Amino acid sequence: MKLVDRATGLLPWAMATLLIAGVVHIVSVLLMPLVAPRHAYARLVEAAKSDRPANAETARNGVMLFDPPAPGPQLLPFEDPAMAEGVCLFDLAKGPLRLRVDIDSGDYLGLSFHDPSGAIFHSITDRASNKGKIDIIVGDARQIEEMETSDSDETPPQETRLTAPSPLGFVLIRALAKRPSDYERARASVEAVSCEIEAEP
Amino acid sequence: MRAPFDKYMRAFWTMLCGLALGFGVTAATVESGSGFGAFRVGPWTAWPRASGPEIDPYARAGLARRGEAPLGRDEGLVFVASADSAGAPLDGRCDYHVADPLPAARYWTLGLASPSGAPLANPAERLGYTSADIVRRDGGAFELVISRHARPGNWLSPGDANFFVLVLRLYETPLDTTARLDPARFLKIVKLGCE
Repeated sequence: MKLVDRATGLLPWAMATLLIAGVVHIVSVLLMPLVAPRHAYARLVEAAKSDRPANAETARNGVMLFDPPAPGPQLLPFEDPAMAEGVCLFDLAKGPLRLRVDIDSGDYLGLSFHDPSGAIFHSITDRASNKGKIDIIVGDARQIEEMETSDSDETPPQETRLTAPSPLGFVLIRALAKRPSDYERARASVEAVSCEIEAEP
Repeated sequence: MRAPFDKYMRAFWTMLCGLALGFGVTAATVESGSGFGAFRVGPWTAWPRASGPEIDPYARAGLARRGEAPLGRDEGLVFVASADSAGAPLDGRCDYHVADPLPAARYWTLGLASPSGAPLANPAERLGYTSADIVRRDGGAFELVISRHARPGNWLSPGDANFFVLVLRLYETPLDTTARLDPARFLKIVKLGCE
């Protein structure tokens, strides 16, 4: 009898414990992308700073090439060692990002657009290029809206416009080296991508 | 006088236990996988929903925790295997035979990595094969051996690592991830023997 009393006395506390645990769990999962210290964007910014300390601005807005793949921990985990890679970091507070590529080789070139947590909001490959060109503007909702209002009716916009979910983010560029000896060529096609801050209209 | 103080103590412990339990569950779920929507074929697992805008909060938390930037769904699909086709965990001291078939894709690559996603140092001095440079038999089929010791033909080595995963990347694949796929129509990993 006493045992049952004790159990019913503890039951509300156990329920409260579970309730708190549930709230803590949900809040911590939702906050993880913001507070995780080594998320993809943080790693890339750190690499950009240590790479070119004198010239941090070009590292931030041009393309930063990754080191050739080698055994051991890489800048980002689970990247394909068969790929030459580079990244454009963007900060839309400075203006929209314009990304241009001329596709000249028939080899795979992939672009993925990420928010700081690493989640993807858009991806495209060379197959989806328009007449051998990829031309993309990434902006926040206000910037994209301003571009649309300033469009004239006669000439439709040539570029693809993307609304980024957050002001910070990055574009990962991957070019396939079909054989290890193709690596330099793949790296050159990553270098051929241009990322610049577009002047606002 | 003792009763109210007792209740405060209980409330304090309740909160402490709730916090510990909540963070514990978060740590366990974030470390163990990439959220919902796993696509499994035999020993291979892909996370197609983690590669698009419809990503769930668990997958997002996992990506941020590991510092990973996945492939977009339009780019391709990444399959990771940490066990052989019989279900036994991959062991660096064992030899494995990996063989056809593969789903259609514009290109694919196959490589070894540590469980945390780093390429492995190895005597083969090869981090992986691509669909263009793997040696094929007549008819286009291929087979590959994973072993610490040199093997003729397509050979990958985990080096000194005891634990490793196989990573298969299918670039621009029309593979339907909403339907079940028969493991017999996917790469098989068969253990040959152990040291």
